Amino acid sequence: MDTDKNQPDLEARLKRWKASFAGTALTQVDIEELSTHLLNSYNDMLALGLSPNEAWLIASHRIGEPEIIKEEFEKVNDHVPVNRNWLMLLWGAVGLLILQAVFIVLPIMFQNKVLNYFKPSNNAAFMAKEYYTIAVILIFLFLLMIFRSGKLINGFTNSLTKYASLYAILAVVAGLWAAFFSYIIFANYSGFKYSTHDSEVSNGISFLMFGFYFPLIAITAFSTLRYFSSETVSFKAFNKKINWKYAFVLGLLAQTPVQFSHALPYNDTIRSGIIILISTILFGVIGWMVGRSKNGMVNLITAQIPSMGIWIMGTIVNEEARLIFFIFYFVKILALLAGYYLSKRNQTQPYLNPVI
Amino acid sequence: MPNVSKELLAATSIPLILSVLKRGESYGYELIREVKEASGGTLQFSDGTLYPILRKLEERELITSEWRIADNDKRRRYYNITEKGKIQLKQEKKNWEFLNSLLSTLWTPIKTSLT
Repeated sequence: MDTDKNQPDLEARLKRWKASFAGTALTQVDIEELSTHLLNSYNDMLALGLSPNEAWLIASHRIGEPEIIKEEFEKVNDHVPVNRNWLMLLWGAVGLLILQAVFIVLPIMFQNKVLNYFKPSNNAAFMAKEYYTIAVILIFLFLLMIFRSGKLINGFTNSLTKYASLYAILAVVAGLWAAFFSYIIFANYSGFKYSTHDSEVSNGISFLMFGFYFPLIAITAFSTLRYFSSETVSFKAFNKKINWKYAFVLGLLAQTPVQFSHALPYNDTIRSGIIILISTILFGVIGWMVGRSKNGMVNLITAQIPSMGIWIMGTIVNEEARLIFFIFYFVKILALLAGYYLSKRNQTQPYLNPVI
Repeated sequence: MPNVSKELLAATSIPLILSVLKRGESYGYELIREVKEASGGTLQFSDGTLYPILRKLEERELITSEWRIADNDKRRRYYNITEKGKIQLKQEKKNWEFLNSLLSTLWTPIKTSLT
């Protein structure tokens, strides 16, 4: 019986009740499970002939005082508040990267296009005005953020919970995109003009920026997935929860450092060796992780999609390097399969995994 | 009517949950209802405090959980006992039987030559 649908107040009451757990040791999954319990109890009371008010009163009394529930959850979920703060910190950093790219890097990069479009009489004055305008808009946005901070934080955490996989992809794609644009600005304004720069120095800068941006983006994406697949307190528990979306993000994450290693300042042979080595390690680990998940084969297929995309694109763009692109792709597939096989073999030999 | 203390209830919560789950798969609300019904309504505790115990049991791999769509088309989390959980339950049963017989022995009046 779906009696709760007929109660107009119920939604507001439930929302208030759920809000009392915001920012505590309870995860969104915990709150969802408790709300389901509360609704079941409420509906049972209604079925017994109680009024909506009475039903709510008894159901909320039976489930317990939020303070008591919070205290009990703190004992088992002590990692949750720490992880949440950590995640917010990471998203703050990635968010800053993206904002910087949108509001600073892009306007600087496209200033010539803007000038060509508006054709002002005084270019310098026009551009200065444009930057001042952007700054004023930003100040206004920040003020709005301060005034609406409570709602913004709640809304952001809720949407993160609902669309964790999408946010992880966003962290990788938008984060790398922002990093790439920042790189161009750094490279240009460090005195190394694109057309005349010394490739060795440029590679060095690329690598330094890769060393800065990639770990930040990778940790943010991984922490987002891990935090919002809830019970994944441990690496082992996370592996069990891997689905095709998570596998795709993992494949994307592993592909990123491989992609950056193409910019290493060594000769072709050494660089290829490093690319193959990094691919083998990262994709081997992913294969092993996927081997612990439920739909292992499906996850294996989605984990290799980003690499397959790079292989196909590489083949189209650079016809001369078809063979090497294929070898790089083939190595990743082999590593994935090897990791998967080892993981499965490990699970079927219980003596390697003694139950204590 | 017995008045089970919080501490005693906390000590029995693990065998209680494992015993219900040994009968078959269950979800939080049903699990509590079964325990309360079996106790004839004697056991009184806040339903919400059951869930942290379930988390603890899952972390110890004594039970597993899975979200599925229930008959009412809503998401519901189902719990199952694992093999490790069944072994743990056997051990818990032995412990409680031992304590029960110990208390029974101590509560039996001592037969002396005068009685």
